[in-house]
Amino acid sequence: MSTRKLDPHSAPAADSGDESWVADLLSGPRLPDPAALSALQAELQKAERPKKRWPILLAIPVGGLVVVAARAWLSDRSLWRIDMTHIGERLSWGIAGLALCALLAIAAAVHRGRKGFGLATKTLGSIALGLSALVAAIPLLLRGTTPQPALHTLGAPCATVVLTAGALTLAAAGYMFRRSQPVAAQARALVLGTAAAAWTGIIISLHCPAESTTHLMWGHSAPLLILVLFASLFLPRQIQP
Amino acid sequence: MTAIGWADRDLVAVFGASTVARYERAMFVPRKTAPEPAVPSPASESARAERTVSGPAPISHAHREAFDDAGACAAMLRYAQGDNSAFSDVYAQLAPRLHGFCVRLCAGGAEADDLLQETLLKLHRSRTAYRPDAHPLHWAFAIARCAYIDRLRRRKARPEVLGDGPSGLAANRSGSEPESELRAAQLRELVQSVLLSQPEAARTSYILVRLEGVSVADAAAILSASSDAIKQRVHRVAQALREQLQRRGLDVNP
Repeated sequence: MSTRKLDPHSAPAADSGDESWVADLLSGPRLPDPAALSALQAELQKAERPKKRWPILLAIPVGGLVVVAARAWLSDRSLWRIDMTHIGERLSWGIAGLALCALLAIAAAVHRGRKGFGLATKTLGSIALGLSALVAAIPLLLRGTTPQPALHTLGAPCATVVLTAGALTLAAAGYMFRRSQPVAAQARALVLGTAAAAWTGIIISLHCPAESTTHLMWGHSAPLLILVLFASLFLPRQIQP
Repeated sequence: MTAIGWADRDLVAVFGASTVARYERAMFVPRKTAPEPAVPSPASESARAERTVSGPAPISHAHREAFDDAGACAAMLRYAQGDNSAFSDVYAQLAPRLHGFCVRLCAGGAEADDLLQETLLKLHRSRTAYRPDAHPLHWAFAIARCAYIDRLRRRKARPEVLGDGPSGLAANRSGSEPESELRAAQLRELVQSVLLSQPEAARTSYILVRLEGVSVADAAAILSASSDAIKQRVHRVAQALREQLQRRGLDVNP
């Protein structure tokens, strides 16, 4: 290896572009130790084999359905307490809005973005903020004046259903995206949380016929926002390598 | 690459060859005008060998320009589809550049080797998520940065002594080293200390753009920031380096 030194009196100017004479002098990056390579190969043999991720998409709504069905069975009530043959116009729009929010959030989460790294942090953050506000607001649009004495005033059972179903949905999303996002994991987790909240919002809106503002706010909307918060706290660790 | 983690080519990449030479001329005893012979003397060679990390012979600077994009992408695609035998190819393609990146992030030493190992393991575990339109080296850089940030967080939670920092290494140097290499080492330590004083995002932006030769657009994708933000970070770090060198009486443009 040459050890020719830099000669201040003969070195070309920095802006001349001619630094090829330095290239031979200087050492480049060093290969790691071959023994370390063997040790790493041995360790890699123990690592898990790749699994298919996309079938987990099916678990996203199924988890919520399971929770709602369990609740219906435990409380001896029907699964859908909405009359499915006469879904009102407001509820239809509400469910369509939540479905659109879920699809937009999932699209943002899986978008290839720049150079295959997905959308930037600011873009994801803005999408998560806007969509989660919509997801929280849409259930409040279903308020009405129909008296419903059988329903809990603050919607505590509904909050439990939302958080449980949402946790299963988040777990499915986390499993599907596990160790796959080296970039903007926090922002992407927020978007996934928004998607999970939107799916759960659809399920609870079909399951619970409540029209009281207090019930809808504390039993439906607030737990959906808590789901998004859970996602931002616990999901990044799952989805980054 | 020396134990501090900076090769002379990094200094040249930062400051330009004439600037590095001017610094040495301004700060230290003037050196000989005639260049030393190409064949190294046994004393200088052994002194260099003592300081450098043990292992196979270093790859020349031309390796960076010779990075085989097509080969790396092909190997990574096979690896992502579950072909374990492709790991050797992936390693051969990515490890030299990735190791250099880890060394610059961590200021060299054993921590860089640990970071490299951790990065390769994470790369293996996340290989099925690799997207063909992502450059495999940039993908590896992004994973290395993730692992490095995790280390920083763990270090904040549980501070531990990781061994000598750059100043410790300088203090342990013997007095019999060639003067020019000592001067270059001092310059490297200055640059490294300035970089370590910068926020991690700015430091990584600078390392990617100025030292790894990644384009601003690619660095913006790796760091999930806008191109303007990357440019501002690089400019800020360059400004900090310039100020430090101007304090030593050298007008430079890093």
